[in-house]
Amino acid sequence: MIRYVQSVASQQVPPPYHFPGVTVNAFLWDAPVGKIQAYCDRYFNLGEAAERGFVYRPAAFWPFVALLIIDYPIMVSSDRSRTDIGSTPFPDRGYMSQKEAFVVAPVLRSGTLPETMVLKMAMEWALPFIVVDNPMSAVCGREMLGLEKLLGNIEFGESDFPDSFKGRIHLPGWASLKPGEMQTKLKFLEVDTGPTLPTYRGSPAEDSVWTLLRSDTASKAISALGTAKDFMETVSLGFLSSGMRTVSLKQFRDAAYPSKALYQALVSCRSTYSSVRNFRFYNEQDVNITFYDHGSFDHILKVFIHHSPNDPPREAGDRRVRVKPVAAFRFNANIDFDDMRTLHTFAVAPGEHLPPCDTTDDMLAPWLRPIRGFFSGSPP
Amino acid sequence: MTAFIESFATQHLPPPWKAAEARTWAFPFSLSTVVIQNYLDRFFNVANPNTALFRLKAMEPIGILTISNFPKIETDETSKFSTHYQNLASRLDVAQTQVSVDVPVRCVRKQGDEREGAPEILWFQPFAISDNETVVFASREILGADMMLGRIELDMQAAPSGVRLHTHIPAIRRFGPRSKEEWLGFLHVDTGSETKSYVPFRAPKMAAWVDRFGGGANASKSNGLSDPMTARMVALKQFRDTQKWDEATYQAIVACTVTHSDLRDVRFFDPAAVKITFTDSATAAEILCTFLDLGTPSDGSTDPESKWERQSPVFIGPVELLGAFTFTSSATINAIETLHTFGSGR
Repeated sequence: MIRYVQSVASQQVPPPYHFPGVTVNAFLWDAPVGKIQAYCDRYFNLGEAAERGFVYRPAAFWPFVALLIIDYPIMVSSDRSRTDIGSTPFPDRGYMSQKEAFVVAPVLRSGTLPETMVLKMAMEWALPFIVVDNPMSAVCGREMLGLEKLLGNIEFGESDFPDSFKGRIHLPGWASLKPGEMQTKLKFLEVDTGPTLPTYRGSPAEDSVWTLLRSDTASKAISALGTAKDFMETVSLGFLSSGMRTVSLKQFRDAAYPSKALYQALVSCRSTYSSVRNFRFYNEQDVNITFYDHGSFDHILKVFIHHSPNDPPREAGDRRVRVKPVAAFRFNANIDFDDMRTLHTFAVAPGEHLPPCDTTDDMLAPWLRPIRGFFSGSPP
Repeated sequence: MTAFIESFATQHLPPPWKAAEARTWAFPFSLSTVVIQNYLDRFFNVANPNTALFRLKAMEPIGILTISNFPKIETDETSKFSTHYQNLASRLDVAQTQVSVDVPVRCVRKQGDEREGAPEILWFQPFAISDNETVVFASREILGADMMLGRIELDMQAAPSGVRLHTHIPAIRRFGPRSKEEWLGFLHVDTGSETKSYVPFRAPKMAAWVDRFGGGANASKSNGLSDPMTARMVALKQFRDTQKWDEATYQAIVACTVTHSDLRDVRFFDPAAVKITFTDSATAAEILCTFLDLGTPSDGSTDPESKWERQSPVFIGPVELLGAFTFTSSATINAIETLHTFGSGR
């Protein structure tokens, strides 16, 4: 292994990270299962199944995708090792802020052989779309974790009513794919909600998922669950478990042949929510989520938006793609981002004069990791 | 070779890039060969000295602060690059302004290298800033340039042929647990108006050096340079390991070419009248004081850490220039070669 040449002005703040006091606005809608499978096949299930030994597929037991819009007032490096980089250690340098939005979908990994199907089984979260407004965050995510972060303008605020939410995202894109089209910042997403429940404004709340959860039966069930963690898992429809692990394809281009990869690996990191507070529902019937499919944005939306043949046809020139959520909520929490792992390194042929990149595999199921020595020896 | 898996997020500007009507302002300044060599040894020569077949050595005590305005950059139609857009890459255009310091160095081939003895002048950039995220991602992830995204205000109407520029970068003024990253001023340039006539460069070697850079053309005698100027740039392309962040999963020296053709409208400025200042910050201090040797970061204390303890911005400059000129050209940037790979994969 080779030592990374560090400079003070490096754009990369290494993990782990601690994000206290974040505000999360979450919106869930029905998963386009076919598109999630296509995403898994394109970015995770590379090569032949028998050769790689695992397969990713949509998690059928959690048939939603979630749009999370997050405000991070403080982002710090929480590296305890205080590695000597010849300058002030990263945790002592200060903090950054950012706004972020991403779409996340659960995916289930399993082995391809009868004897490995369970051994490699894990639920992870794929992020087919993620945008931030902080350049260093974008660079870190892209180059260290393989998260394909875009850089855009993200604005938050209240919508028409107090205690409501309004989000606006603009991305660099091309309004059309015609020759000569110049890149500009284009509107990509608008989100508006009513006030948090209960409220006298907006649509009747009887049909909202919130109503179900505030019923006597549900309340008792929630109380019986005991811990805040379990409560969170329940009220967020399972979205917020104690430790969410992401999965992403980290790959580097060759300079002379940029359509070729020098390195391809599936990497994962863990995000843990703690001190969850101020959990509030929005009436999902009063939530308006509108994506815009200007020119190049169509390539983004087709990854995670399902265009149903039953959808009403849009008028010519109408760029709006509306999504109806099945649940919408907001909460505050602390988030820790740590335990980065290389799950699987694909065998790539980097080209002339270079040895092929060897395969590595660290996909043992989470429940087996404490006793991994019985199954796979020491971790790589 | 294995195919890169494209997505909308990797819609990089694929090389070769070409930019018509590119306007460049160049400001040569003195830069100690010791400072240059220190940078080369740290980023290019020391990483794994036993395996590289060449060594980069300081050549001239010169750096060039360069401002380039590209009103339109597009991928050359000859590109074989396959993007997520499927053959549409050459139609998608971006605009950007870029600021960098470019330093010429000599590549000395070691014994056993098949190209031993071939004279080679390479250029490296101690820093580079662009105001376009697509360019930043492409430069970092394809060419390996350690480029930052900045906010660049460029006023090209401030004076005839001149430019007024303010650059901001995301930075921390002083390191400390309660310090916050902000958009802080970094570079400020005001050329004033062009001069009526050519102003000789202040360095004796400068005219000859420009000749070399310009492929034989002499900028001092002509307002129209027909021969293209080509500079071969090198960068340390490296990516961190996912688990061990102080180690690199991939590290290589990558070369690309920057070619200016159809040079025209060459104008000169009085270097003594050009105002160039930098704003110091903890984030920028290493660039300014170590890489560019533009000042001493110490505020008088002997404590080596005290340089980060500054509360208010400190302006470094004015930078003493050896010359100042501007020209319009058609620019082409192409990734050409991975000169040496220190390591790849894990």
